[in-house]
Parts: sequence; C-alpha cells; structure tokens
Amino acid sequence: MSEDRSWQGAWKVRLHERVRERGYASLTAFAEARPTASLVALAEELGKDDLNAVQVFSGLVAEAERSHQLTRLARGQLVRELFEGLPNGWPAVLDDTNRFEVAHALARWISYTPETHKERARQILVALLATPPPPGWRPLGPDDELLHALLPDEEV
Amino acid sequence: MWMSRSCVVWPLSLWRADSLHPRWTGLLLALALLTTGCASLAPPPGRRVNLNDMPRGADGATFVERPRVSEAPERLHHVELEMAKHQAIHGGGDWRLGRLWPGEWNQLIMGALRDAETAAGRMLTRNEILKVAARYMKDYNIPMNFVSGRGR
Repeated sequence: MSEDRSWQGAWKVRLHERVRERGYASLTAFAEARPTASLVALAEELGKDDLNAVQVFSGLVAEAERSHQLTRLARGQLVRELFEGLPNGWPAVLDDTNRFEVAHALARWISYTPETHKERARQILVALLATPPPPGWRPLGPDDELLHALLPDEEV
Repeated sequence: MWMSRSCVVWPLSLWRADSLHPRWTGLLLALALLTTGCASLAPPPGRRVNLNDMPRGADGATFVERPRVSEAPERLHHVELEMAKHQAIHGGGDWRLGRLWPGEWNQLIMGALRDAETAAGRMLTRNEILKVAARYMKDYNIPMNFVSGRGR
C-alpha cells in the first residue's frame, strides 16, 4: 500500500482539479454520475493516494450548501451507505447480526449527514426500524420513491 | 509528557474479548487514536512500552479499567500517525476549524457509535466497535497495518 498523501498540499484545489480533469463541472455532478459508489470509491477514483473519502464528503457538503441541495445530498448518501452496508438489500428478518449491519449503515449515514439534517436523519432511522421497507429494498439513487417519501426536498 | 514528531497511539488489543469492559477497547481506539493527545501516550523512541502506563483523566483517575501486564494478552498493537495528519483529520487541513469541519473525526465516529447502539437496541460488541472504527479509518486513509508491540 503506497503512502497516503491526502492531507499534503492544497487538497481542496486538488479535489476540484481532478473533477474538472474528468470532465465534470462540479464534484456533485461527478458523484451523482456514480450514485451507488461509496465515498471511498469516489475518492479512489479521483486520487487513490492523495485524496480521501472524508475530503470528498466535505466537498459535497460545501457544494450542496451553496446550491441548497443538502436534502438531496443526504438522500444520496443514504443510498451509498445502504449499497455498501447491505449488499443484499434490506433484510427480510432483523435478527441480531442483521440488525447490527442495518444499525451500522444507518449510523454511518447519520454521521455523513450535514448538521442541519442530523435530527431528521435520526427520526428516519427510528421510522425505518419501526416500519421496515420491503425486503431487498436497495435504493439506487436519491430519486428513489421511498427515499423521497422519507426525506422530501424542502429547500427552495 | 513526552512529545514526539509522530504520534504513537496504543493499545488496540489490551483487552480480552471476555474481559469486563470489552466495548471500551474500540472506544479507546477511537478516543486514544486521535483525541487524547497522542504525545502523552507515546513511548520515547527506542524504549520499551510500559504496559501499565495508561491515559488518565484530569482528576488522575484511570481512563478505563484494564488488566495489568501479567493479565494482558499476547499482542500489543499501535498505530503511528504523523502529527500533521492527526491535526488534519480534526480540522480538515485547517487546525483552527477544529470541530466546525464537517469531517471532524470525533464527531463522526463517536456519533456513529452512539447511533449504532441506539439502532441496534443493545451495546455493541468489541468486534462491532472495531468494525465501525475500521471503516472510518479507511475513510480517512489511515493505514490499518497495526504493528505488533512484540516486534518493536
């Protein structure tokens, strides 16, 4: 494993340069073109040794704040965490092991939810556990119908 | 306190899975890794780690209970982290931002552990806590090639 250089130099400049080099006008556009990719996968594609997932998240939040798309970003991040954490979709039965995997994915999602939306995200966590989605549910993007119902756009 | 150019944070596996406080193993990883001030935990170079040293709170109380040396398991792991990287993961490259940065380590991992326990409806096991921590280490590009203390 080569040495990580993600914190060296001006990583924000580097991040946006890589996005432009790949033909995207924004980091958001780059990420939306890969709706199920994890933050780690996005970071690796942009710079395996000199960018990291948390920097990508930070950049996405900054852009979403400017474009008033934080709710959409939160939905998109839930897609990424569920895709990675529950590869077989939402479990049909929440036994002890499954419940941890669900809890892990949802907890990660909340941690990668902007501060303004964290409480809403925690309410959704409770709602999903109380009224589980259909078995196998695996949203593929932020426009998933159930996701929209759980977290509708509210920004103008 | 001994200050070092690099941070050495340990321990990862001073507890046995069946010890009294296995869940604190991972929490200590999460906390000690980047929050408790790694300099205070770092042994001077070239000297052996005193397994009975452990972080203490402001009141001098030990941070958590753990076995003494004679009871400690065979392996001691540590993670080395450059000071610059340590600061970056708290401040995103701007140390002054501290917890205002959305990717701040403490906020992410501690919040996630709390929320995961709430969602799971029970305390997490040691391995589950380590699994959560390992994912965040990957997110931050923190290497997970832990070094056995015996090899030092």
